[in-house]
Amino acid sequence: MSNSIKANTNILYGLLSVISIILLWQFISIIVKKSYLPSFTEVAEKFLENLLNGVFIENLIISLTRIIVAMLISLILGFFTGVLIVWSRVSFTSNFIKMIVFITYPIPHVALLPILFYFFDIEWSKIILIMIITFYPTTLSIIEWSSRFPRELGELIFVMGGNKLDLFKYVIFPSSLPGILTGVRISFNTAYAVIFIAESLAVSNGLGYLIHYYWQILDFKSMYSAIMMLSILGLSTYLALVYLERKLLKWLY
Amino acid sequence: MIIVDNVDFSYDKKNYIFKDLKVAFYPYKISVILGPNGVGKTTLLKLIAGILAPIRGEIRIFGKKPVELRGKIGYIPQLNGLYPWMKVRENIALPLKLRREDPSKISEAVNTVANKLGIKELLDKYPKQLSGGEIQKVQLARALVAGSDLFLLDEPLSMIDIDYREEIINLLKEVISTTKSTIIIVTHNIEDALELSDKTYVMRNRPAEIIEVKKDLVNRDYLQKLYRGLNV
Repeated sequence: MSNSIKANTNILYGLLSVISIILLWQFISIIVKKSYLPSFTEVAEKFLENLLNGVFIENLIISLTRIIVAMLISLILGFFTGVLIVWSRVSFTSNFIKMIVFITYPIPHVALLPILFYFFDIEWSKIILIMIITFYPTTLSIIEWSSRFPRELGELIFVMGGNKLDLFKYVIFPSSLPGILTGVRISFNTAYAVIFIAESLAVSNGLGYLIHYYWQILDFKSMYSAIMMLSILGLSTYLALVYLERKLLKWLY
Repeated sequence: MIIVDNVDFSYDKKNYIFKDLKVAFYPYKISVILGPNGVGKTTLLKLIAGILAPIRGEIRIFGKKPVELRGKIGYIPQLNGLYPWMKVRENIALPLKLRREDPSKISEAVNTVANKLGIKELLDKYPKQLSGGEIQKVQLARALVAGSDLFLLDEPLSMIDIDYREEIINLLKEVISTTKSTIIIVTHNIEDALELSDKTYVMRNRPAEIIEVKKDLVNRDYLQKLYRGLNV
């Protein structure tokens, strides 16, 4: 099957599933008839209203800024941690850092938010929480991908007359790029889930806050419309990153 | 001459792969080291290439240490040594890029070597699109473009099909006859040794020893006996 036919088929299936979900939602809401499950058409109306009056755009920019700052820090930290674990010639360094990552991974990091408030101001506490949570998928994905390529590829650079900078440029960075992109894709999804929790406490802006606020005042139509906004943002990011992966990793696909 | 002089080597400093290893390889010839898997053939090539360093003893390549010859040794590993994220063209060009050569010169050199080896149509492909034989040809092209004086080949015929086998053998023989270079090949296959070698060596035991086989004794039966560790 050619790539364009495959892409068209995927779009078709995508549309079909979106329509099915909307129809199911509409159907259940008509049957249930409860205020906490408004119909799709009511939510869509609210969504358009909040989109056009700028409420969503303003809060989306705030949430996205928090997420992007957090992810940039976690990406830089994750990259260097992953590279040290995979490429360090000193087995102590590699094993020690690996153990720290693996042991701290299962900690329920969301639960650290109240403690983070003591160490950082309110704004940075949220960013640091998202940073901690997205650090793990990024780092683990970089470790997993970089380990797939034989170490000999690194040794060869020196045999061919290269130096450590060449090793980084021609081997370490390109071999970790699939891991970076996969990690970022997974991290974004996680970050969108965490932003709701992070913005539920002690702030008065962001999409997470909006969901929480509408829930508290029992404005379910607005609450669902804000969830819809966050879902559209998540889906768009996912599709954009998949596209970027296909563009940057032609050698893999 | 390539001289391995009283070399000791161990990965864990307990089990020695080489202890007092002494061997000399002749220049401008194809030397084939024959030995079973796990005997230390790849380790020896890595020592000569300067990837590994001996614990004791030294290696001299035309009077120089391996590290002094970085960029001048064409090392072709047993596994696919091509960078999967680079097109064939970029893979072949890499040794010249690492020497910071002029881009127009690099492009010309890559095209020349690709023409010579008949791989011009592969230049814009990625390694994963190549067959085993094509991978070996591209690896050879990369070693040739660097103008190496010494080629170290680890099981060069192991992952290629019969059609490419003759082609690679002829290419290696052509390299020796047309350039002033030296080739050391390691293999576990007696047929490869019989077909390729000007000089034949057998590596056996642990710590390993290397026996140079006299030219008039290079035949299948004799090599098999040596290979199995029998004293003949």
